[in-house]
Amino acid sequence: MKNLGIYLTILCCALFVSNAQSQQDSTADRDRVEKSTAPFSIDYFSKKNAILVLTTSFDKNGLVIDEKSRIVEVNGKMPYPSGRLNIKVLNRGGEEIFNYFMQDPMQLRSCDEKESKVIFIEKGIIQLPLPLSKDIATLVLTRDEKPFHKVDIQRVVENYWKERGNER
Amino acid sequence: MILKIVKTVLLPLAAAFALMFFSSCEQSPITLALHDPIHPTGTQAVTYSLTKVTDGSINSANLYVTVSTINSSGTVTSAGTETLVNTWSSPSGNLSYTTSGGYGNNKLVTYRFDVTTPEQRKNFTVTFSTRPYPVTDMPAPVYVQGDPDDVMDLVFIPDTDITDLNVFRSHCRSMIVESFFDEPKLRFWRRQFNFYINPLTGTATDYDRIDTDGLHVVPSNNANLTFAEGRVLMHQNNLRDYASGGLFSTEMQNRGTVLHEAGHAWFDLYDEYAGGVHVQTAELPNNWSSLSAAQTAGSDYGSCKTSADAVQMGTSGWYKLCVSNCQMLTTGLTHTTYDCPCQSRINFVILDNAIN
Repeated sequence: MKNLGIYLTILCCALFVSNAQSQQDSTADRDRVEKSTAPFSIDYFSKKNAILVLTTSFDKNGLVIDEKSRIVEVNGKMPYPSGRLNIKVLNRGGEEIFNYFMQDPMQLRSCDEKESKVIFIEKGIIQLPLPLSKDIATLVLTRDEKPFHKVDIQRVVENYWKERGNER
Repeated sequence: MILKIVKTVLLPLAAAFALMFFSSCEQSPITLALHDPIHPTGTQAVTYSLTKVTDGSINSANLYVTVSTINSSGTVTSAGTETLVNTWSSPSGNLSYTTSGGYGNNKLVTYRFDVTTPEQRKNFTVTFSTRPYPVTDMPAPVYVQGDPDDVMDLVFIPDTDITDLNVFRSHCRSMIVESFFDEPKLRFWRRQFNFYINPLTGTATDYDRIDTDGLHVVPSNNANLTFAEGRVLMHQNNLRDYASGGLFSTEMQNRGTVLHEAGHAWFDLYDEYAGGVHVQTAELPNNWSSLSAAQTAGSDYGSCKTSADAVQMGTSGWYKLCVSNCQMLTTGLTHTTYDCPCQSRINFVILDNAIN
């Protein structure tokens, strides 16, 4: 009986130390995170953080780049990457200048555990964030590590910068 | 004999569990800094509150407010000075202070609760804007705390079917308080979230009527919402909701749906029911593509999980470790909580977003 008590005490102490260590790590992480987080400033939404957003249609084969495709400049940075649609942005030399993940706008999820549905949309409008660069030529779209679409957007990018230049 | 059992077995157990219980809690009291209305007009009085989520005493507290003026370009034209507006000494319950009037138009208001408890000193700083928000086509900050690049951002978008926008705004506040800050893991990270209200509407459609009604109509300033990891289109009518990209729809009162969808949009968590979207993320997944992978991961969560918790989601060929009421399995009116694998993923994403 005495030994059992000792064993249980040791077991409980080990559990306590493990739990306390885990909690300490988590609290230490939070301290680190809060120290690394700059306070909110409305200045975030200024031109110094601008990115481009491409609005265009898509069909079951991928993006459709036509006369309706548009690029606008918006204030704010790229969002934290999340999702399984990967966008690689290539420059005119074919080099990758940006790469990010996003939630797939070409997929619909109806999250109902009783009757859930996941489908791919056959046509619609898509908005893709792009870095603020004049040297964007091609987008490569990859889903689940499988590239499925490569599209030339150089003309839309050039038109945007040309129109912007004319505005000045 | 009984006394011996109590001394040798039960007492050590009780002591250890008591230590575990107290050590696993944030130092009490856990408090939430809030304001009401969430997005006041320039003439509306504002009530600030510091609400205790857990018991515990507060020795003293100060409330400071800074009021700045912004123009339609989003530039601060007059930076305010932080002013002490109220103090509390040994308050017994929740703290509350109501202004005598509004702050005027085109204002950004930042308030800071400086709280001293027996164990520590805490500061909570929150910024909101007055209504109408003057910055053209930009979402109005209604509860923002950190640099949007370091925290998770969510934009509430009113649906065109909403007949009373005061009800919508009230639900936005309730979503913050009753969903996000009511879930223990998100409450632990409560300073890492920013919330906005979009001035322009969108229109949600019913999943079962997409063929006739089309897809969700995004607000005309949708490109300006690109910075936000999550966008929620909140509507009044009952619809079969769906998500696409970072945009999801929900009835205004559905506290569970918004947390489930935020799990996807913010943290790249995947569904835990058969027929959902299943992906095994490279870092700290909540879905596994094989039983053996899920069983191996079962040992990564301390005493929370074991390999025996690995189960297949229906006949999907995908596996999970979370309990059956984990938020990534449920949606709807009431929220549940994220189980350990989801919590680990949330910790990872919040850390990665803030530090990298």
